[in-house]
Amino acid sequence: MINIFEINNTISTSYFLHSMSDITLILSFIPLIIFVWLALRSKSIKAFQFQISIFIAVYILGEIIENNRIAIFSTLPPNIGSQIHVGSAIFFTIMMWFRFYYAEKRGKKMIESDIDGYDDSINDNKSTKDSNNN
Amino acid sequence: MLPSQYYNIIDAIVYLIAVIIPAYFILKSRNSINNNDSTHLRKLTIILVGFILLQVLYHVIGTFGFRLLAKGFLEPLSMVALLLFGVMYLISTFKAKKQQQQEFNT
Repeated sequence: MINIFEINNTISTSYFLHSMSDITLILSFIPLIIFVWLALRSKSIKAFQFQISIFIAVYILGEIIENNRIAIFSTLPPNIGSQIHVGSAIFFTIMMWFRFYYAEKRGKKMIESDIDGYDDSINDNKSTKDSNNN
Repeated sequence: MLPSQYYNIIDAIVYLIAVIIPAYFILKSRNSINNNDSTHLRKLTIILVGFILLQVLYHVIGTFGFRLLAKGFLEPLSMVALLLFGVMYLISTFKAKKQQQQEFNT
């Protein structure tokens, strides 16, 4: 005999999980937009903003494939979404450790400011101002 | 054991290795001089640690098969932490830029 309540429960659970994965996707797109915008402003692939935006982009890709929401991705082998998730986690870890290693080596900040180039231009302007005053 | 559970274990371990760095910075910054910049950076790092630890918890819970709790609650929560990190980072960038503009004007 089929337990109707169990089926209903399973359907509602899967519906809930689908809606939550949609919410997760929307939530993860916002930081991606923020960091991509900051990365474009910093104009450097070495910047923290660029690296974290790559991590989020790969994470989102894994999430989309894992949830099978796009028909093209359904042809991919199973667990590829989870593998991409692992890939993004490894990328994030390598990024953290490399940044730490180079920060220690060069005595720099681990997260650089978006306005590093801006600092230089300000200093240049200040020095020109001073020389003009003199 | 299912392959997805293996991936969850690997994910949890990898994120645990990643959390060492920001956690070390938080511990290190506790003893340093508290100015406005370092306090803000510390807050940012705490949020980043929160995101990573939520990811660890999500993968650990997922390994034990509590899909509803993991996918339905912990994963969105970790994304909220990442969103908060992004917003805080954006605010700190604007603040720093504004401050430098003021310094330049004076």
